[in-house]
Amino acid sequence: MLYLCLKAAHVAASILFAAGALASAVFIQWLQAQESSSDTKNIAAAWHSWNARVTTPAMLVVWALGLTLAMQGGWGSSGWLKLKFVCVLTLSALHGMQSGALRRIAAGTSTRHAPDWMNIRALTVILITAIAILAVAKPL
Amino acid sequence: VRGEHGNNVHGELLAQRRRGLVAKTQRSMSFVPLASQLAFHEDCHDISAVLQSRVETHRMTTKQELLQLAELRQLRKLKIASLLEASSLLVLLFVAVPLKHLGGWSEATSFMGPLHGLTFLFYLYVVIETVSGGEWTRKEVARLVLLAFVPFGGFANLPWLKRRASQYSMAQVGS
Repeated sequence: MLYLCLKAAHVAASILFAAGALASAVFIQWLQAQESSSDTKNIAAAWHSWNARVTTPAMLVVWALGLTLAMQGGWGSSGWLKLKFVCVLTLSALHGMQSGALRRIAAGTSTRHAPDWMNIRALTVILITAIAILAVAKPL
Repeated sequence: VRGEHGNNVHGELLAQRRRGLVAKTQRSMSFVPLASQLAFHEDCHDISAVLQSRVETHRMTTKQELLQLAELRQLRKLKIASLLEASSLLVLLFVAVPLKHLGGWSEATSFMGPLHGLTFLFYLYVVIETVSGGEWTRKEVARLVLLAFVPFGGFANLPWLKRRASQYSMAQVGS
């Protein structure tokens, strides 16, 4: 029962994290296509605040519960879990970059070294899909 | 029109009206220095126009200041993550591992190991978040990452981050 409760909480946190990461990628790409104005800065600041209050805590819950579930379920040596772990860490790193980019946009500072957010959006979709397949089908 | 003491009543009334307008503005807008600059302005219509532009400028300044605070808050977050990571590594190395090998209590490492793993990942996440939003050189980023692998390394970060935060604050005040 405890395992199922933890799993349910892990899935709920994963949905919040994935939704936040994907929305951030879409927002940032849109914001960078606009001229910097007080509107774009306000949107970036508001979304950055949402990330700080919801998406990042959800990510931390995903990590902690994922680790707990892997230990409780004895999944530690499974190939699918290792691959999923890499995907989650990559998604987390992308989310960190998104959070930094939102701060830059909110501050109206230069984004000349910004990565291609079109590719990052696509990568986010691929990673979320891969994580879902690995978690449910456990192919490896 | 002269009053009881021979002063200009019309002028005083105008001055009182002006002071009242400025005082009202100060109460409603809550920025005394900018509003007090308007006290010598002659025309009420011009005052409102200038006031509007001042309000916009003031709002932008406040927003900018808030964002500077956000940057400093990010540095503080990095300091906390660094402290957590370094502390958990020390507890793992100098408490949990001896307890396992000398006291035969393996639960200590099976608890502290994953906990340190989480704090390490959180630290790396905060490093990525921080360097993606600010002006950091490759050398500084490498230093931030490499210090996470060294015991006491996270503690070495703290005075450096404090200096960086104070430099940032001074640079912002200067600008």
